[in-house]
Amino acid sequence: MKKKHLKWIYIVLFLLIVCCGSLLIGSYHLSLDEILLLISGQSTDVMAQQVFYTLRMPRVLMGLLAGMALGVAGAVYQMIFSNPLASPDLTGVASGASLGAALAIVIGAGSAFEMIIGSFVMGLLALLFVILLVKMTGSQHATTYILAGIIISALADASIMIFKYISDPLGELAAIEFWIMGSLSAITLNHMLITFFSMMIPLVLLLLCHRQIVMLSLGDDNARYLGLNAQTFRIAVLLLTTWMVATIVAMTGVISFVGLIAPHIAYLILKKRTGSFLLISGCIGSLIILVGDMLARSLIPGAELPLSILTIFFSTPVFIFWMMKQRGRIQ
Amino acid sequence: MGHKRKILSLFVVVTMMFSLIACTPKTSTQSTQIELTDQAKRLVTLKQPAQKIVSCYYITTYATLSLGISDRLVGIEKKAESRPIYQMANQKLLNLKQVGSLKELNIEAIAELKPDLVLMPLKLKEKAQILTDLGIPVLVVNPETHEQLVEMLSLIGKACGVEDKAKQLSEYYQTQIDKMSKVKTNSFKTIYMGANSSYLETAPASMYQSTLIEMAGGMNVAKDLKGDYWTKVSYETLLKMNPDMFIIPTGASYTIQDIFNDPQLKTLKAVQTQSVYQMPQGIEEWDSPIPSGILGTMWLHSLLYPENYSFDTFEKDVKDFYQTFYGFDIDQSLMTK
Amino acid sequence: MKPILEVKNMSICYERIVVDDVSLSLYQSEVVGLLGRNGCGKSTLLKGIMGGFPKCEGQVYVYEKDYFAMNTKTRAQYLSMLTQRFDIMEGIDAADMIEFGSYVYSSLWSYHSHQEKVYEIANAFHIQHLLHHEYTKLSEGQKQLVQLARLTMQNTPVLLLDEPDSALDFDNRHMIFQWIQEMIKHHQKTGLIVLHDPVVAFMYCDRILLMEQGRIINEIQPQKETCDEITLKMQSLYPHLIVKKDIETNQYYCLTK
Repeated sequence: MKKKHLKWIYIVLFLLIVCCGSLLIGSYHLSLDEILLLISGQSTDVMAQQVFYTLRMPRVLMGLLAGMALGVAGAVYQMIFSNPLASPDLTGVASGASLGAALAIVIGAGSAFEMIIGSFVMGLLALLFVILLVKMTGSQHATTYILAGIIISALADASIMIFKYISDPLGELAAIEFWIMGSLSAITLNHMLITFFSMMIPLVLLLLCHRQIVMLSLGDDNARYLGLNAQTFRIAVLLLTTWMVATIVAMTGVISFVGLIAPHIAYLILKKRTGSFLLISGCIGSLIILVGDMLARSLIPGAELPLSILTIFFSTPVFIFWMMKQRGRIQ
Repeated sequence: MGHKRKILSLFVVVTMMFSLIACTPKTSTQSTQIELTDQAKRLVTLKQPAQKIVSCYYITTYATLSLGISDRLVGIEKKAESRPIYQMANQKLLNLKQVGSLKELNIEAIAELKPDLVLMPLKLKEKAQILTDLGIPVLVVNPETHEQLVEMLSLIGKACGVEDKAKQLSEYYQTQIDKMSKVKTNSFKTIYMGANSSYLETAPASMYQSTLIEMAGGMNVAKDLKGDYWTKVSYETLLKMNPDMFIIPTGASYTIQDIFNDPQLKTLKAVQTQSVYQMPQGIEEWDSPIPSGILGTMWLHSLLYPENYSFDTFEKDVKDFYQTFYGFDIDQSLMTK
Repeated sequence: MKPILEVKNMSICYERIVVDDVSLSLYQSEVVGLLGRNGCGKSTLLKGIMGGFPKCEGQVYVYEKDYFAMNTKTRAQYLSMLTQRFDIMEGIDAADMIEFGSYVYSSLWSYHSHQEKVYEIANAFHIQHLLHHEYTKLSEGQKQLVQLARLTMQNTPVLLLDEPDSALDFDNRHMIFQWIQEMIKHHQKTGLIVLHDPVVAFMYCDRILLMEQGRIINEIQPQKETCDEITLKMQSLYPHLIVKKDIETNQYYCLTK
């Protein structure tokens, strides 16, 4: 019992340290002293205040939120599909949202607000199409969802290819590509606040339903015998997670792998999928994104790499490690 | 029990963090002395003419060079070392901090430079608000046509207190255009201009390059093509157009020799009469709407009407231009065709 | 006496008819065995009663209420089942599994930890040392015991057990049936147990239903019938079986011809 609490504390502590480190990094040089002055409200440097509160702090908090959302979503998906390879993009959220953004860019609407709305709506639409497809086939089995998700993702990806083909290579194409690779660079205070309020509801609801989510992982029939209406619950959970993930993707673009990797790391640490699994998965997600973002900003002086590059390079060794540990147990 | 408590405490911690943000200081409004409407229809206000400028892409940097205020630059666009004119006109530019490109802007780096004014293209319009929120004025420009180019120079001139220079430039343009339009001829030569990436792409009538051709006294074979951007043509279409003259832009990825070597273009009139020319490289991109773009028009005019406007006269005009506006002596050997 | 569980004309068919017009009634404090050869439809019938085949025919009544008209949670408060398969992901331990049984009594807004009760029940099954073990790594027999503990937690008036003795050794099997007896006799529950071993059936059941090819072909009430009658009824399913009763202990035992 005590060991579990200890792990919790270590992870949260590590997260706080990474947050602080992240606040220190940036092209606008702020020393630790200056930051302390800023936080305590005693700073007189107007520009520093602006940079810190409208750019730096929201960016770090956004990384925290994004990681939390993606990590929790990944853990939830793995459980409701009883599949350790399930990721938040299984229902085509990321592909749909990318399509929405590409649409906004190519139509010329490209303003930040319109892109956000576009990608959010399309991300949710992807899920609705998946549900429609599943209902049409009549079989509500977990595998059907996975198959439908693959189909919808593929359709969205193909549509994105069309947009890339017809877009202006100098401006639009570059913008689309950059968005698809994910970044925290465009995050300001407003972005972060909107994200916070939009994702809090589904996040809290999902965390409260942890037990039911674990029960879904037992299989539809068994869940039903235990008193859980598996089919409606699964759809409700899918809607909540997609809402959460679509919010994030609309703001930051597609940050790859976090939702896939964070739950695995969380399980490696906790050895359990019940209890604080969802929350720890979220914390690990935040860690991955924040560390990735720190590297994205500091590897090349003055420039910023897209976030997904780092999250992928980061997570792959962990994934390989996991695969080796499985050795023969991969179903 | 522990489960819910953990969620609640996380909630409280996060809400506390957000209350910190709620106390962001607001920027105070000050009395303004310069008010402009930029090319994104935004209202731009400056206390006084800008002394520290950040330029986010090459066209605005060229503009500062042509208006003689390039010394005021504190930040420049990425890959500045790839523009030969900087080396020639103002080497200090190469040492400036590179803060942006058409894809992205490093907002924090710009903020750290504490500029009085940031010049950025329409494509980056979204970032303008972030900078204005930080208290930094932003001038958004969109020089797609000659008129818009002149407007841009006038706006930058006003913002930096060098309106007279901007006026001088636009008067120069007008003088040259008037001179070129005086040429009377019964038949206009047909001209085909290739794109940078491929000579099987050309400019329809709505593009700056087409206006350039018309102003120089030629006729754009592609002027009836539909579109607002570089349009692909097939070999057949090109052969059907059969232009009198084939122009390659400064930054082309192919050469005059490539055109001559292409077996499918052997029957082209321009190839057979050896009328394939490339705009001079190693200075600026005269085929785009940049401040020295007028020179591109004049270059073409000289090729079309050598008896009215000899190439030697043209070279002299170029030398004068760069001396007057950019303040340096251009290397004559760069004047090629 | 009114039946606690009543099944009327249940027919289940997918690809072929698996359960053919089955009707049965269960009364309070009785253990009913469902006996039959492999593939006769016993497990399917149980699953059908639980509502696993929404498109099947037939009705189920619990305390004379329409079971299929109830919502999922209410259903799970009346009927609980012990299944043979529970393929799950790693990361769930025995204590969690047992606690799942308490889900039917919880709502979204209340969450009480049932740790003490879980411990108490685990103790009764002598598996308290397994509580924090990974469920998927337990032996089949241990899993079975955990499931029974879960059933205890779920505390429904009707228990459906699908071959609860299949993976267990002799001692554990005895403990299972002790538990079944206790649940049913002392806690006034009702049990329908699928069995394939006639010996076990006679040892522990009040009534035995014989099932063949989806139909209930016969019913045996050991207390009220003679051994010869019983042996005769068993003939069609178990032609080599002779059922005898030990006069001293009153326990049944079987011989083969």
